[in-house]
Amino acid sequence: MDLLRWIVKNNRVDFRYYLITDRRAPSSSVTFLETIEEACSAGVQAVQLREKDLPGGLLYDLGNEVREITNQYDTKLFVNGRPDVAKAIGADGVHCPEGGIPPSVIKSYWPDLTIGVSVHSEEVAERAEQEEADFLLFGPVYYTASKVKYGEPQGIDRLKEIAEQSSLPVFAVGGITPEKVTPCLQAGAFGVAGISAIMEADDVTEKVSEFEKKLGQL
Amino acid sequence: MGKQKLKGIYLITDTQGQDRYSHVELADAAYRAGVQMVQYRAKDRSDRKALEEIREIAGLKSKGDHLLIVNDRPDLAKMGGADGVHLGQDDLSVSVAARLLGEEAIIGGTSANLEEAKKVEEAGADYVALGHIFETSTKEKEYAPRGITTLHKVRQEIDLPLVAIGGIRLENAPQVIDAGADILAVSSAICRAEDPQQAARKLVELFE
Repeated sequence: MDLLRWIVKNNRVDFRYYLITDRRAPSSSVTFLETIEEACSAGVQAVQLREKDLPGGLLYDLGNEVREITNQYDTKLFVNGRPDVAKAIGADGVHCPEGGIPPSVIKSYWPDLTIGVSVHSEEVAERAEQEEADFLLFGPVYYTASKVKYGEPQGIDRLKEIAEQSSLPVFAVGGITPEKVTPCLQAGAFGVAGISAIMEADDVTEKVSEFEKKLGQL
Repeated sequence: MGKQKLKGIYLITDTQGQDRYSHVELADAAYRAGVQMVQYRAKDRSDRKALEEIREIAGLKSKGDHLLIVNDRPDLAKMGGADGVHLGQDDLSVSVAARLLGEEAIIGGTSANLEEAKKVEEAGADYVALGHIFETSTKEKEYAPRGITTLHKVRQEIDLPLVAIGGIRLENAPQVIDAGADILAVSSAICRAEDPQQAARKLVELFE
């Protein structure tokens, strides 16, 4: 890939913390939308709406509410697994699971969508790059309850292998607390992602600020 | 270019109630038998795999005679080269799907009673499906069969092409047509038949 194309492509990914939602995570005293709003207000630059159990209609309704919040703070919004919902609510992008629609296909219809792809192996990371993904999400790097079904943590060495192999920005996910940020960046991650660290935090603003310090920018 | 008249047999492909035939094979058998509409409905596989199958089926149909509708997902319909999408009550709305797919796309909606059927019509759908008419094992149901009486009542109030769905077989199909259905949606009557193409052919003949 020539340099100019590489720069243009990577400008789509100008965030270092990628907040992944779970509407069941926030404690009962605060609502899901309030948690997202506080995170955006604290400076989070990218949110992935990941509510895989919701049928299209409800995802669309919730997506519109989240879009309204993210627009207020100029935060990028991605929708997990549903390019149609992403397009319909005016999201910035879509996040594809490993078995999702190939990014190149999505872009041939809706070129304005930025596309992230979850990868768990070198093979899928390479395929995603060939298929014009804009960034990768690799994990689980550390132990995390929400990713147990993907098996044992892959560890920091695997993250390093993926990051070295791919020219795309790689976000590390899975058990990423502020203390784990530096090792991930040292291993070559462009940024980090997470659900519970922020969604379940007692003090969301404080937690976001801890990530910002470790990342240099959000 | 106007949309073609919707009438006849509408196959909903199913590979969970049987495993002898793939979605692609079932669609191929149906199109060969003269079935006008096929709905790709697969909830058990990745989007990547579904997209491949939809594209393969789209490549089988001959323009003008055959239509391919994708269940639930406007994105897969658009990117797979299908003609439209079928939306359940919990899916994206008809108007959102129309915005994503454009004027030419065929958009159908599910209803379980007259009130829902009218809403589907008012939303600007191209057809409305009513069901289930009879007992069916293809989908888990939370309510009793609607029966021929409801179908007849809905027919009086709905101008759109009306699709009857649920438990329709060759034996009970004539009374469903008599009650005013334009289209008969079937799944197991073709998918689980000894010879799907022949079963489809017999159903198609009811409209000839």
